[in-house]
Amino acid sequence: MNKSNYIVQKFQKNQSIFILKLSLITIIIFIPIFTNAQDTGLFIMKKMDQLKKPADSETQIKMTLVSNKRGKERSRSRVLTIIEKKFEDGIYNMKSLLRFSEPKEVNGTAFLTWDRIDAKFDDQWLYLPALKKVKRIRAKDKERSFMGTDFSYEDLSGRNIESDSYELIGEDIIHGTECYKINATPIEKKTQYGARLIWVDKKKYLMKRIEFYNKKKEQVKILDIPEHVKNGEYWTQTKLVMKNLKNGHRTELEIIKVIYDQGLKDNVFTESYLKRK
Amino acid sequence: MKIFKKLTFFISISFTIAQINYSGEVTAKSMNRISNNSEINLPYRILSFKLGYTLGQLDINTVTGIEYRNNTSKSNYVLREAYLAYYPEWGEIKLGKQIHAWGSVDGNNPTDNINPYDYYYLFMAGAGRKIGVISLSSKIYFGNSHLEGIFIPKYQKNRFPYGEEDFPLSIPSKPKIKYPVKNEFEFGFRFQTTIGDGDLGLSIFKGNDRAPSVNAANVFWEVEGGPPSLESLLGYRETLVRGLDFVTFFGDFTVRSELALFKSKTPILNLHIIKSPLSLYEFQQDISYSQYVIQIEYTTNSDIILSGQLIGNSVQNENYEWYHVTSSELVDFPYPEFQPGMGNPIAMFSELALLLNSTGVLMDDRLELKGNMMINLDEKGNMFSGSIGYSPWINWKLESTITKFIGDKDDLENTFTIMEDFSNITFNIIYNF
Repeated sequence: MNKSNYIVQKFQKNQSIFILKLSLITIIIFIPIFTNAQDTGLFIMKKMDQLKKPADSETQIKMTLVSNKRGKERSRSRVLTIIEKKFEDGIYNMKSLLRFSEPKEVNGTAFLTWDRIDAKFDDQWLYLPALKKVKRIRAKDKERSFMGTDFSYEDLSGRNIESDSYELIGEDIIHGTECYKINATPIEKKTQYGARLIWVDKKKYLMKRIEFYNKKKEQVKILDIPEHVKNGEYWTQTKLVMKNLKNGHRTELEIIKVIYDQGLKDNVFTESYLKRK
Repeated sequence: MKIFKKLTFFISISFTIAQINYSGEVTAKSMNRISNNSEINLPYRILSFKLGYTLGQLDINTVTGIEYRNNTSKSNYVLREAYLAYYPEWGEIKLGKQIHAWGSVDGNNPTDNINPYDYYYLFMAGAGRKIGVISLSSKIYFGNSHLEGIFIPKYQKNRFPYGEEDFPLSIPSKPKIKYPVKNEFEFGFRFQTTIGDGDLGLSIFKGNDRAPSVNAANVFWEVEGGPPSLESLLGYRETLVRGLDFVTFFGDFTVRSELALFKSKTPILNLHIIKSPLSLYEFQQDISYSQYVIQIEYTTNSDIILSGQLIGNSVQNENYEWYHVTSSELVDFPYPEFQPGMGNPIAMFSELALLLNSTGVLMDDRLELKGNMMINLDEKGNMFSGSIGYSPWINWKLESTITKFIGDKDDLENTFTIMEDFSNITFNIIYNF
């Protein structure tokens, strides 16, 4: 089993959710809405949940893993492109295709994901250029690391708004932006976290920071989203940094390029395109 | 002149809006025997280069390589693939020299018989050990299923390292391939559908064996009334392969499996090509055999991938006879040992084998560790392999692999005993671009 096989097999479970919700993290679109001091945590989160998403998108991302040993930082980058399309045929929520372009060793390695409405697991296939073969693969647990990064699949997929209770606990300034500070506590217990603190831009309803706490109430990770750019009617998060407080490791996601609403055809999400560069 | 201008304009526009992509790998390799540190002199691909041109729904792809021998410094250019691909909304059409991949297990696929194997690269995984064939292929999608058809106008056989002293498997000196195949045209179809959480594939392929087998023999009696001496003349059997493959999941385990049923028949000799029929006896063989692979995969919490393959093959039914080509008189000549001419290459030296693999990556993908083991369950024989790869800089990798074969001391004909001398340590410096 070669390295590309290994790397991509680490990227399995909930991948379509990942891709869908990576949109939430990388290309989340918030509609600016006037709010007042009586906003509750739930109200703010509902506003965030009322997302207008593009029908399809193509996003090129640079993913950098940074390790810190004895004060010396070392980094390793990957570049990947995610193509996704929403479906309204009653069978699929979304189909997506993810392809690595760097490092060159894994160039062309790609995933195809069909997010079925009625299925517990997504349908997923992996293309390994060295084998010239498309493999059907199984999704992994949500708690697992996404491809050795500091993001777990759960971090990338997010949670349904009904899965947590929310409490507005104050206001704060993060990345030079005035934010609401919300405490999210899980109602639906199938999560690795005991709580999350979420900072939301007061004016634009953009997520700026999340602090993750484990079930022992220890802070384990921090996600910072310092930059947003508006492309047409959509807000794009251009940079995300996830810090693992336990091992000093961090993962940076940088959006290199994003294209919305290209009118992608359904045949883009087939094995043929999975193999196509 | 107008046409020329239009053509120039069209070509200019094409190159402006088209995308050209390329990638490749440069490898420097050394391979030495563990026993005495002597160099194993076999060729390897020092350069592999992929070049693609995309214009809308049309692609042109080429894969070329340079094969190199360290001992002689001789190199050899190889065009491994060159094909045109078109992607209409309903599927794909590809025409040219291509490498195909059928089946569900990771390598050693019994249902994957479209391309012949290059035995110099037998120990490589995947497409690296296949030879491209000129073919027309098409895939049609409907819902969560697809149907693929492949047509090969000119049959192509395996590349065997005849006369290579350092090649580990016992391949005789280059045999006389006396008789060409009866029908060069080959075809296959594969249907795949998604059922529940898994995939199911059904396939059929009709072609000619990739490896030669006995087709006839010149027979001499050195002593009148004594035992006959046979000079085997080889040809290629016609073979029909029916395949079944599937992938399914049980909890955290992935199960992949393939079964191929082969029906193989020696072609009847064409009397027009026979020059001296008086001493010639024809061998007619009609044989059914099967090969299967069951693969189970599991990924640990620390992202170590463990997988195992059980590989088996057996003969279900066989009929054969020797007869004189002109008189048709049946004779009682010995039955040559059956060798499958298609399917899983491991079937060539084991009827039942277990392969175990483990892979792990550490240090943000800088360090890769692999362990492999092959246990021959048919008779004595094991292979162990351990590999460490380190990437000091992006796109660079240093890799070392140690491979050890252990055979049966009491059986010098045992394949693994023969391969003991091939136990080796390999160093690779790889640059990807």
